[in-house]
Amino acid sequence: MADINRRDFLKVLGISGTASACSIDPVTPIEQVLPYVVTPDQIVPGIATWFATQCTACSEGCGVLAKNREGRVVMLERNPEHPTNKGSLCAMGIADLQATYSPDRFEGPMIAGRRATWDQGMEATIAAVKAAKANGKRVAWLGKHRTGATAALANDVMGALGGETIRWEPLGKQALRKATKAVFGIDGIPTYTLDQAETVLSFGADFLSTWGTPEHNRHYGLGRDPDHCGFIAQFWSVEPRLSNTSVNVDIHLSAAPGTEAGVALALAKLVAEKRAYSGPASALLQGIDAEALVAASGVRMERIVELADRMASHVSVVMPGGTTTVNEVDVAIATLVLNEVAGNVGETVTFGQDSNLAGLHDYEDVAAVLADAENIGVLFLDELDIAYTTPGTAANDALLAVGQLIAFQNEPSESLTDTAIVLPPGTTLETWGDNEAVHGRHTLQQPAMTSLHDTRCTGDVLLELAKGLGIELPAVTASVRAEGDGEAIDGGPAEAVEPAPTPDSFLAYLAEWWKANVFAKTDETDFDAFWRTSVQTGGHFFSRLGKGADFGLEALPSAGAAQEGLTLGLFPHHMTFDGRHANRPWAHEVPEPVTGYVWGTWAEISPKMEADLGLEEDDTITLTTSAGSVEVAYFASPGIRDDMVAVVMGNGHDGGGRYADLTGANPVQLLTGMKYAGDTVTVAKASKTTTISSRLGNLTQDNRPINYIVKAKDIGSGKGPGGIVNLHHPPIDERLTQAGLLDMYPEPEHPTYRFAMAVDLNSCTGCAACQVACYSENNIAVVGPEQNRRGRNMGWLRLSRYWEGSGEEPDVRWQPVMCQHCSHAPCEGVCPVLATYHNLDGLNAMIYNRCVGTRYCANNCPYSARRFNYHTYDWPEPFLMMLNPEVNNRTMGVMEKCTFCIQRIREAKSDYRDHGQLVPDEALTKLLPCASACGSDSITFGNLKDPDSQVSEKFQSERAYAMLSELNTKPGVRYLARISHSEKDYGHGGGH
Amino acid sequence: MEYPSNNAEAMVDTELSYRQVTTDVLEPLFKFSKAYWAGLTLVLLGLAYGGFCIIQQLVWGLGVAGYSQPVFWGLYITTFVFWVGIGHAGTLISAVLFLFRSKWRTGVYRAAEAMTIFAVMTAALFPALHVGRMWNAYWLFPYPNQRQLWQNFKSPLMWDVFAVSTYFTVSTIFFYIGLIPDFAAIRDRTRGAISKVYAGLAIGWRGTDRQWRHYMAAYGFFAAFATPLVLSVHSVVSWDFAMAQTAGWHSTLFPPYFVAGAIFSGCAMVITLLMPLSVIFKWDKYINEWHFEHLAKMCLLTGAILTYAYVMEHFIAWYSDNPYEWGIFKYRAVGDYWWVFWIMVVCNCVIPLVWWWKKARTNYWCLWIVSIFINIGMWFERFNIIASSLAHQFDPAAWTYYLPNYIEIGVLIFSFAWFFLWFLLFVKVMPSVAIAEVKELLPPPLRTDAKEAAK
Amino acid sequence: MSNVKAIFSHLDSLIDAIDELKSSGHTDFAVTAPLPRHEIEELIYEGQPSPVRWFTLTGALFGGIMGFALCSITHLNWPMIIPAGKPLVSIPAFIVITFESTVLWGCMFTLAGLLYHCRLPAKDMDPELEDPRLSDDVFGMVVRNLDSERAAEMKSILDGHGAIETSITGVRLA
Repeated sequence: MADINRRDFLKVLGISGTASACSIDPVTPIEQVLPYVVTPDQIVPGIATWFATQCTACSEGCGVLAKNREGRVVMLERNPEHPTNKGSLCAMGIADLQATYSPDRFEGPMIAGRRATWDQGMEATIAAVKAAKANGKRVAWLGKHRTGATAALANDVMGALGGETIRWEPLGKQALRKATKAVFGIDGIPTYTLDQAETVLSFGADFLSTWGTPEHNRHYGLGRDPDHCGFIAQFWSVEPRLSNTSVNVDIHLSAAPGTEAGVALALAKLVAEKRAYSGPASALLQGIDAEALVAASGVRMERIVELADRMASHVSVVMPGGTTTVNEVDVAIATLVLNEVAGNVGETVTFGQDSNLAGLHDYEDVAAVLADAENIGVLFLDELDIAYTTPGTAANDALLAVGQLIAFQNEPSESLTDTAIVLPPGTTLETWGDNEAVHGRHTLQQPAMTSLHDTRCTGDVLLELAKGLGIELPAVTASVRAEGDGEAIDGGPAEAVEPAPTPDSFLAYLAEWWKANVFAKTDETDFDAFWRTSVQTGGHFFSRLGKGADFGLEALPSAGAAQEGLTLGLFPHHMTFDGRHANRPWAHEVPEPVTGYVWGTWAEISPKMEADLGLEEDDTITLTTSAGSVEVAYFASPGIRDDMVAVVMGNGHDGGGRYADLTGANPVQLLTGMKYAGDTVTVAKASKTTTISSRLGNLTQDNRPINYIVKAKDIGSGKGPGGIVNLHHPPIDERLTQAGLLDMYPEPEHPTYRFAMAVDLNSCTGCAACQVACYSENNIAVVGPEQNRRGRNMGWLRLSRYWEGSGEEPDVRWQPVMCQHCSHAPCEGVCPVLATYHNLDGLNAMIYNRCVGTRYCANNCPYSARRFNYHTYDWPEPFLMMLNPEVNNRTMGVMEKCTFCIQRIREAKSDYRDHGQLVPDEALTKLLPCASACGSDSITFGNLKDPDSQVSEKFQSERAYAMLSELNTKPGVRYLARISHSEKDYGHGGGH
Repeated sequence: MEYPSNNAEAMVDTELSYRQVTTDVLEPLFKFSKAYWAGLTLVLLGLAYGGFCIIQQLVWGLGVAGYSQPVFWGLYITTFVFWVGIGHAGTLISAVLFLFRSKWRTGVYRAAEAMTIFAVMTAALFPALHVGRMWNAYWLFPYPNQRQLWQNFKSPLMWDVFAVSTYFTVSTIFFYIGLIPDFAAIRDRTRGAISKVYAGLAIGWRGTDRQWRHYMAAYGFFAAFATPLVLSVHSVVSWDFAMAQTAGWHSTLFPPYFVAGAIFSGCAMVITLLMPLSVIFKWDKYINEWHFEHLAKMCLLTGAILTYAYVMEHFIAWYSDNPYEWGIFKYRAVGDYWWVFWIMVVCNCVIPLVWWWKKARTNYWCLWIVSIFINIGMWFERFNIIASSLAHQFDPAAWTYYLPNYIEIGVLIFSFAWFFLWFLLFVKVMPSVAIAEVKELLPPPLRTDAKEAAK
Repeated sequence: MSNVKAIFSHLDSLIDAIDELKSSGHTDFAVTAPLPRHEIEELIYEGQPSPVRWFTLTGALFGGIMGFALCSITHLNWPMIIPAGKPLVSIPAFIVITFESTVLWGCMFTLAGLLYHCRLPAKDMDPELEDPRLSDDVFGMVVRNLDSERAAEMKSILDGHGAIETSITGVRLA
């Protein structure tokens, strides 16, 4: 017990407990158990219980651990056991905790806007369906992408009702799916493995932020880590703008919108020649005129040649286009062709362990249903805000036209009509469920807490509906086979399990389904044991081997051509995504990394356009297309072309909840069709001043020696710490140091621990997960748009962004800045009332109760890491239940800052003190929420007194430097400088 | 035997008799004109509005003010330093010039001292007003408490607490001691209740040889204590900034620079206040251009020091090649706060130069208007130092821009109203000119002269 | 016994009167003036300095020690690692407070000394001296404890020195 990690222990403790509590018994499902009537024995007050469950923030199906304190989930963290996101949990996933505690949730079924009981709700539903059947109307299902048992059940019920099940994701990867079908004849999308690639080439996919899983970030981090595989991956991008992902590029080739496919094909041609490629694609590439295509794109040919050389000689991976890519399918095909000729297929681009897109439809199918609204008697809307996410009024009209709208959703949305029946299904944390988002990865979702409201999970509703309508559901196994699910690569095909009668609770159904579809594929014998283990680990994951595929493309796609006029492209918000998370305060309060914007919608325009329009900082602009016009704030991005305007999606709701409705505009209303890029737009200066605000003060670091760059060629020159980064400015005279005159006083003693953190800026992708995790762990106040305008954002962890370069070398540098826990802290000396001091563990402690709020400490903090409570910012119910009981809430007039999560440190220390040990390194490295959330493992925490700890090693890295070290504050944080492949002489960003 | 009069230069009318002096000085007491009431009403209105703002801040928190992170100090500290600075001229004139035996001090020092005390009383409001938890502001004072908690005496803010409170106590004692003989004079000139009050204030002063003997000795010691205090207080205030390593604050230049600035603004304020006094009360016999000229010269000297400091700051910042330091000073001159910087330069370095001409130096209107410009300039100097340095700290990613909002302006108005409330009361209940000391300037009445006159 | 009160309007005549008194060896008298005139002090006290200065010195020393003790003892009382590794008792940081406290207590003690030596606050010292003119423009003198004939003699002396008004006030017990 002593040698296993505390978390693992608690996890096992908690989950085995839960598992026993959730023994499959249809009579008393867990949902009905109220905590503390009979205290569940696995809940020890003051000790967290961890439940393994799934994340449903998007459809990637990551696994999470839900931290339950006294019956309330207070934090979501990665599930290290889960193959999809062992690295981390993304910002969106962490923030999804707020879905459960949203103050706008329906407290029970609603009929035509009035609160109803479940009996009434079900009666109305059944009646509606019966009526529809009676007068020969259709029944249809529009919903978000679902896999696993719920999907199967819905399919069965809808099948029995003779209605179709349309699942659609506004940001689904249908384009890539089409391309894969065309190129390799496979229904699915490839898996991209970045960590083996020395060259990563992106055509616009936002794969480090909103496209795919955090696994990409982990791979990116590994690929950039010189110690991992001996090389430092180069990151190239070919696209008209820089996404949240591609601001990390080494080289950015700014291709005119519409010409990306051409560039890809040109590259394919060159690479094929250089590699003497003679595969199936070679014939197709004969007719390609590389020069012409490149010329058309406005990219320099030399660069393309250079890139082709690299790809020919190094392992590479080519990522497809993204939402801002015009004719996405063509680009996707072209990138796959490029991957083929570059020899990546089967290496870095593999199939077999790919996303399960079964049942995911195109928008055309959705449009068909909407068009046929008159003939639809009952429309089931499954957690899909169809009205908000689709352009024009088609959706709204349809929703009004259908006989009866039955919505499974927990919060209000634009899609709800006055007559709708709302059957709140409860959130992920409250209900049973599962997914198979990736073939062979079955993730189980177990209730991590009792439902806050009178909810019933969709599965139960469907079963009840079936019963009410007297539908005879097909046997579980059969129903799933009918879904055409991919067969298991391992374990052989499922042996037939004798059909069981349809159970009447979804939990039972789920178990049955698992028995038939997962258990059957394993060589396990005892299902109960299997089920228990699955619940504990968060699912059952078949290990599949990625394999290649045979190239079968008949004809090359059109190379495309540069668009006329100004091209519009929409991109997902890094947290509100397609708008589904717009009612999560954290999604707005945590600054968007690239722009620093909070609370609103903005458009990316080029600095030239800004100048032409004569825009001032607070101006807004009006974007107009043939479809409509919106008024938004703007960000003059050095990374976007003059002939492109990109607008962020996901804000500007109307009826989506109190936070969603607060700010912004919905750019989807600009679209002429369900295509996020390609429309022609006009931009004009608007009258009103923006309500949005940026938390980032300056675009660059103003030639200050703050964020350093080291050249790839200097790596390993063995000069030791600071050897290759200029540590001091102005340089400190060595003689001073030798004479011991640098310090007036010795560094304070740290007997056992000196807690410290190392942040690798080379692998940091600016995904903001650390910030959200910090908000969640430390109950950081959400101050709202107005206070943010006045510069009162309370985030303890600032993600500084310095845009040092331009053109082909954007050189955007990240720097997560939190309290540096200096040994010679400037803040401590100046506090008149000793409210902040240095403790024996090297932490810079903050005594809230003693603080009178002179704010001198904050003035004297060179890192601007301190935050002040200008008001008492309180939380609406039931957010209060979400707050971490380990961290006390600060009130008006008190200073606060990053504490290195002292509550977690204390917990760990006392756990190990019980066994008379010091906290071991492995228990520390990812102890802090920011570290554990970090997708690319950039943040390492640990004890400096332990010379073998990871953090000690990183402190000794040749890239390590202390921020503002010339001030000699002896910080407890070291940054590992970003590695640049550029030949430019950066120093620390020009200047000195 | 020789009976010298201190009146070396003829700055007061030597024909004056002792009685005349007493009469003149006590003349304006307890006489309230319409104008006076008008002024008082204005002051009370200011207090009302300011109080309204302060209450909002107390209830809703400091957030109602315009602070924008990381600018954690703004108008309040600016105004605090401004008033502390004003508070310097008084004691300088009454103590330092006393030790230097400079004659022109006598006429003006009483009012100047009053100004000092009221200015410090005003300044003292701000540390309390600007802290996040006003209701805990008393935690800044070291007193034995059941919490067993003591302050951090290494913090410049604690030094500040000690410096300002000491300065206030000492100046008040000094002020009161000076007033005792004059209180006695009022006691003897009035009747009834008022007389009783002043009898109390005069604590039985009779001007006997024994009293005068110890009085003169003690007065000397007070002056001797007050002199280093004048220099120390603003040095300590400057350390509030210089001890921080914020670029633009962290400078050894600060103490002399702040002290010079304080005397500069203080003397200007003395001119601003005393000129109306001597005109309205027809006191040109006691306070006249001769005094104001000296004050103006004082301003010229300290103003020159200040200008030198401004230039030096920028030069050193550039010469040091420290990107943060130089960044700040560039920012001040041409950044968002350029207007603050140039108001400061014009008001403090350019406009006062007219005083190099004796005509300007002795012309009441010119003196008065320029003195007001100096006050404005000195307020903006402090704002320039505080706001700009904090708005552009080390990390550009955290930069911001701060402007005071109506609440802070309200508190600023409150501070002026508060100050003038006390000053208005002062001129009506206390002699604004030191009676006994002015008498010292007159030739003593001698029998011999009388005989000669009789011949 | 009785006292003689005299009012002088001229400084020189007052001085002469004091001279005569001193030479006559009678030192039990008080002189008042509406303003400090050093001639008077010189004459009466032959320039010995006022003892108030001892109060000042004591006060200053006391204050200095107090100030430094306050800082050091409170910091030692609860040892915390604060400001940038400075030692608990760091002299440079405590100098300011030591100085301020020196000045503060110095002034306090001086004030005490002044009041003590001036016998202030006083209700009434000599009824003779309760005369509104004395704080205005004349010098006063009262010679105390004279027997009746000495008093008459004294009155004539003072008249002789040009007192504008002299009077013998009634017997004063003790």
